[in-house]
Amino acid sequence: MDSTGVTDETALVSAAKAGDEQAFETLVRAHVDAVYGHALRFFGDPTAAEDATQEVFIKMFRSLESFDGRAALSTWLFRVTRNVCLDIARSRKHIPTPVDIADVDPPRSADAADAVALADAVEKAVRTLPPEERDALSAVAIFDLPYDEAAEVLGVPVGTVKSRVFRARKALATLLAEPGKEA
Amino acid sequence: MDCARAEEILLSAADGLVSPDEAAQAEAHCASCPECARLQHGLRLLAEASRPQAPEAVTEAVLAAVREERSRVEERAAAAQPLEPAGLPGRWRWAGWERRFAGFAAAAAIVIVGLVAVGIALPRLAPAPQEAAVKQAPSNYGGAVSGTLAAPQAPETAGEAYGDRVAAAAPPYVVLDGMVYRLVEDRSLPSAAATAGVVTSALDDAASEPTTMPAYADPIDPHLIWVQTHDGRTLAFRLVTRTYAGDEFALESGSGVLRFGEWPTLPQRFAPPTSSDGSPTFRYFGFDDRGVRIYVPAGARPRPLDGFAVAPGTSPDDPAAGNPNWTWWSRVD
Repeated sequence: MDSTGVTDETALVSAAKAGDEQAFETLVRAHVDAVYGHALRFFGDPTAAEDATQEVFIKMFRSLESFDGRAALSTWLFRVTRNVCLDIARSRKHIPTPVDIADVDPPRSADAADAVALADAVEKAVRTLPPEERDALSAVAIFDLPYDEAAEVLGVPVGTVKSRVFRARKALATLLAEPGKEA
Repeated sequence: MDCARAEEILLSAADGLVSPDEAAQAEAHCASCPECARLQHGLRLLAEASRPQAPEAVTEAVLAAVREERSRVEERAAAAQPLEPAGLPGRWRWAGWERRFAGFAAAAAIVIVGLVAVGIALPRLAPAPQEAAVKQAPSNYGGAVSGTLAAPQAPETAGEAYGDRVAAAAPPYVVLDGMVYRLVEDRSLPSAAATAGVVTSALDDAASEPTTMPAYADPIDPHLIWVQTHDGRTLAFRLVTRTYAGDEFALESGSGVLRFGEWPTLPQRFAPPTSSDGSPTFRYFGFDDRGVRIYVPAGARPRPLDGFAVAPGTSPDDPAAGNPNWTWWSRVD
């Protein structure tokens, strides 16, 4: 996000803290894809992802007052989203659905041009990643966190986040471009 | 260029961290290496794939849930009982307890400063940090007593707070079932309040022995309790909390807080840390939502997070501000 975006978001957060309903809803719309995306990749189930998304934004509504803006809102939301998903799984309200690598169909050449088929293949492939790689990828590629902020949230060194993201990308690329399935 | 270098460049390209020269070299390598070409093709597919998007129905459901929560909060606020200052003696208000506490504070200040001076003069006799856990200290709360003592140190790292120290008085706290509540205001007891247990405290009376008083749970706000004094007054206290990742954690005390001005202590299941980095009991974990460093038991599984410790010395607007002891915060279910 550029500096203008940061300023806009800071202003929105201030307005939302002051009770501006519209500002809060703008923030929700700006981040709902990332939150839902992470939850969907965590559970592999749209209903669970929706429940988690609602819970995250309710927490954001309740806790916005304590958000002091030292970190970006997306960093804060990534932390909340990750914890909400873990808590939901821990309470066994929803259980992450396992995916086997064998279940991932690499997009055929015709499908690769089909955005929906490609996105489906990627989402399924992402779910085969080990949780720590999926988390790192989510922080960097869904929430757009810089590596150092992702490292702070994940509680590991920056180099570890980078290597997890690279391993994840390599695994996904390998699955998507499986030999014999290319054009 | 070898495969390992080409792979590194291809994987870094997604972050925009690759120079045009490096990209061209990797491209040239892929032209003659089928394996790297496959990786490049897969990465291109990955880059082309759209990110997951929340269906509009999900967004609308989220917004509706937030609106509902907003209404609930507003209803709760509207349902709160109005203040009844006229019906209660002034000494039960903030300024009242501060005034009463000031005399005790001044006397205690002399004692504590004297003890600290002795500690400095006789370092071998100075207590170890865990033995020095401060429960009671002179008050300069709200400016009732000022200039007598140095303000409590407030380093975020807590390092400088170790060793001999002088602490400000704690806010007016009571403890119910191990959890710490802070005096909010004087209100009348709601009719539907259910018994929650007993609180042992001398409240703002520095001279008397603590007594046991019944506590009631607020019917609407789960963080609010009511303490009924022996002469029939009711005082509202709110659970002291902080948040991490949007979750609430409440301050726990290992000992009773027997009168206003005393500090909660670390629960006895934790050995008081002997070092400013929390060791050997705790290890650094990260930051809470206020940006304060939090610590978890050393060697414990960090997640799910059931609680965390905060070092002495937080900023003045922090719920643990001024506490000279390590504090423990348990997840609120």
